[in-house]
Amino acid sequence: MSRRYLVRRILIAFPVLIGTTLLIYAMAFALPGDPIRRLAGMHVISESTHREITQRYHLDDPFVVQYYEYLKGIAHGDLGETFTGQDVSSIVVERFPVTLKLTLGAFAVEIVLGLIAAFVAALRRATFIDSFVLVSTLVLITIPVFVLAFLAQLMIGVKLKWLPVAGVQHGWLGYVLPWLVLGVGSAAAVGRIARSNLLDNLNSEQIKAATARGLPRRRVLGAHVLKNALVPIVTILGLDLAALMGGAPVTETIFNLPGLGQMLILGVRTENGPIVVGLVTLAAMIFIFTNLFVDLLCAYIDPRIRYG
Amino acid sequence: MARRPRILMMVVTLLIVAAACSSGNGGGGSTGPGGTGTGQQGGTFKFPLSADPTKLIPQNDYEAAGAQVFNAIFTRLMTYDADTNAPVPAQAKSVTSDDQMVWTIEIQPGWTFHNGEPVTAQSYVDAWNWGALGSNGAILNFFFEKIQGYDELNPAKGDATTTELSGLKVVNDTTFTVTLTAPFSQFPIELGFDAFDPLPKAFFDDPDAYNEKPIGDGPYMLTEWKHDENIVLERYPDYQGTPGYADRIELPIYSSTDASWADFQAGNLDISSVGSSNLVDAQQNYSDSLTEQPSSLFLYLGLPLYDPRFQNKELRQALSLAVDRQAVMNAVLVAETPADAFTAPVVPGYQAGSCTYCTYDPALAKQKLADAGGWQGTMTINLYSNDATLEQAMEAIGNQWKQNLGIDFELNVMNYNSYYDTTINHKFTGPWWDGWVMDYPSLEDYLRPIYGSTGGYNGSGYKNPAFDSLLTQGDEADSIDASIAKYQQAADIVAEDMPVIPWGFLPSRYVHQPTVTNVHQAGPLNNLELADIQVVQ
Repeated sequence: MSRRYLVRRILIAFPVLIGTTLLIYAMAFALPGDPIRRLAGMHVISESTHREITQRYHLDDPFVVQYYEYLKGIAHGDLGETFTGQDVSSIVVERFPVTLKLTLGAFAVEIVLGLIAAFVAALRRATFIDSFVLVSTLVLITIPVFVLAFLAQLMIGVKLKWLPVAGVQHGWLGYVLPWLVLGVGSAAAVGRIARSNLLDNLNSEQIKAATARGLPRRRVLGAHVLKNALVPIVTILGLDLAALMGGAPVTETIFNLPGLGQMLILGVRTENGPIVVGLVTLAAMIFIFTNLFVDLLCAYIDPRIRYG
Repeated sequence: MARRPRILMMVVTLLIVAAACSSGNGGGGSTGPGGTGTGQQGGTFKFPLSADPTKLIPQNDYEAAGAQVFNAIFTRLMTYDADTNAPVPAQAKSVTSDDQMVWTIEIQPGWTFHNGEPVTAQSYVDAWNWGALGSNGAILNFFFEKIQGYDELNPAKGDATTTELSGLKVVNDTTFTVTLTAPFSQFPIELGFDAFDPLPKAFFDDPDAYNEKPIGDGPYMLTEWKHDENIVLERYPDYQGTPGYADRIELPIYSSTDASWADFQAGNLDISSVGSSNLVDAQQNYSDSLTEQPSSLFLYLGLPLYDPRFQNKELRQALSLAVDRQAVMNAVLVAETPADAFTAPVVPGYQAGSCTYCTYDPALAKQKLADAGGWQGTMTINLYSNDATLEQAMEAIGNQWKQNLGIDFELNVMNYNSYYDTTINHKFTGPWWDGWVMDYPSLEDYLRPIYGSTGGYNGSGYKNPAFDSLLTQGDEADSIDASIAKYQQAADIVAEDMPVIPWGFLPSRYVHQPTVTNVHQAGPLNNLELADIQVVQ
């Protein structure tokens, strides 16, 4: 791989990151209202307490100073503190494993179900199985995650009691339902795209040539069809990993998984600026680096890209 | 929990057992404190918390989840009688004063914190001093402002020169005195609030470590807190008050009531509170165990009296008379009941129907509006976001004003933080949706904050010297009963002036599985009395 390509891709990531944090920080900063006042419910917090907390979190400094302090913190891996004195970085450390487990599990569901559906449909083109895959994936794509989540929770959790309804107290069993709910929608999308990619490749001249030369079918499918179909699929999967993290807030809230997504929703609901800024910054970083990784991976699979 | 003679306790316990056996429905909330070792003890139950507590230091937390945990891990100086909600000593032996200004507090001897440290007068004095010192940034700091020496600990500029309230004096291990800056007859009632809980020495050594594993003096000790997942309480074996029934209480943490409700339906939780979104479900499927008790939430529509258009009290009376509260509650706000007074029904001295203009009377409303000289322009009704139901309800209220009084309206939806600022800074230009929950069951804790001229939550800017003077007379009254009479007179003045439009009350509702009995609210406070709940063995 050319070093120039690598360096260029990494350098581009930084302005994107700065731009994102600036935007989200400014938006949280611009939210009207005094967040400290709210800590004591409907009571007027005493002046001395208010002053103490304001100073503690630099809330009386101008925007530029506050943003500079914030960036300085991020550079040291410190995402700031909430107004209730919780360290955002430690919230992230505590909650990230939950989101990671959820996302990776859903990702596995997406890859396995999606690719199986694609292969089965592509190899049995224009049969009942193919139509079934096309129709069922279309249905799954159109159902919003939260509908699927509530439905699965009610049917499988509450009525049939096959799987835990909510929470992480049941170990990995509690994740099965969220994995499926979060994964099937993306699996359906990947399945459809992978199917048409596989079909294109199956019909391509080089495959015909390979088959005509008498290569075994397994080798034709494995070495030629799959490899050629892989680039677009990897790109989509990579983007989807980030999209799955985006879908995590809804799933985590419904299934009560204490991950980052749930915290983001709580942060928005309680207008807790530091939480929202911290988590969105983190999400942006993950998105940017996943993209970077995908681009590099594609360049590795298909050499034409890195010279493009 | 109140300490009562043992015989009475056993009778109460027997009654509880009998009630539980005969009906299979132990709820209801009229039962007294639990018994001592009658074979009913034991078992584990699960009750969901609505959020991860922000902090578990009683002087530095003000939210429902924390209050629910404090309910079991602390015993406050005072508690409230289960039937009358009047104050009765709990950890205190007595709280007395001759002049309502210098209070002598004697505590029960021989009590210990969960780490074995004795609970002494010093434990209270240290805790209060910590809460009162401005530089500690304790959220509930303002609760100590009535105590002499508060100003020195919270100077307007610079650092405090002392760290101790001059009004607190330790007499001996079990006695201390509190000197207030002015007479306050409600002080014993206030002592049932968690800001006045004692703290062990272990707290001052390391407040952060304490916050992760708080040590209280209550019937249960906190043995585990996994953030955002679970809190585990176990019965404290050396507790000197009335012990709790269950051996172990699990408080799993949920971020949405939908999730906890689903888990309750699946049988994974023994008890659930019932919110407006699952009330219908609860009535259909859990009517056997559904209990309903008045709560301390008082909902109202604030009125901007600082706006000249709202200065005529006849207009304010007209607005109140022109809304059919019950109709809106039948259609939209199904969990609420119409307000008929200026305080919530849980407070001793609450007078049903004392809000004379809270009835629905469109004819009288029209006449009042005419007397007030009519209304010009559009009425802006303010509400905060993230609640579609609330928006529908405000729309319904606006439509009734339009229909009954011919007033055009518009809705103004705001974010919560600025909503609060707008209330306190008197910037609204029309009625706004609001509510108040007391901290201690006294008429005073509704009347002063919302309507008093120095009230902390007086968003309407109402000022009436006659009203303020009656509040002061209530503060100076030489008994709680005498104070109630004065506060009721003050409430009558508000009822005539209508600085706000009382809207509704929201009862506390709980459902439970057959696995537990005796599920009820902690007296007038809006949380569950965890120690009273019995596990069916």
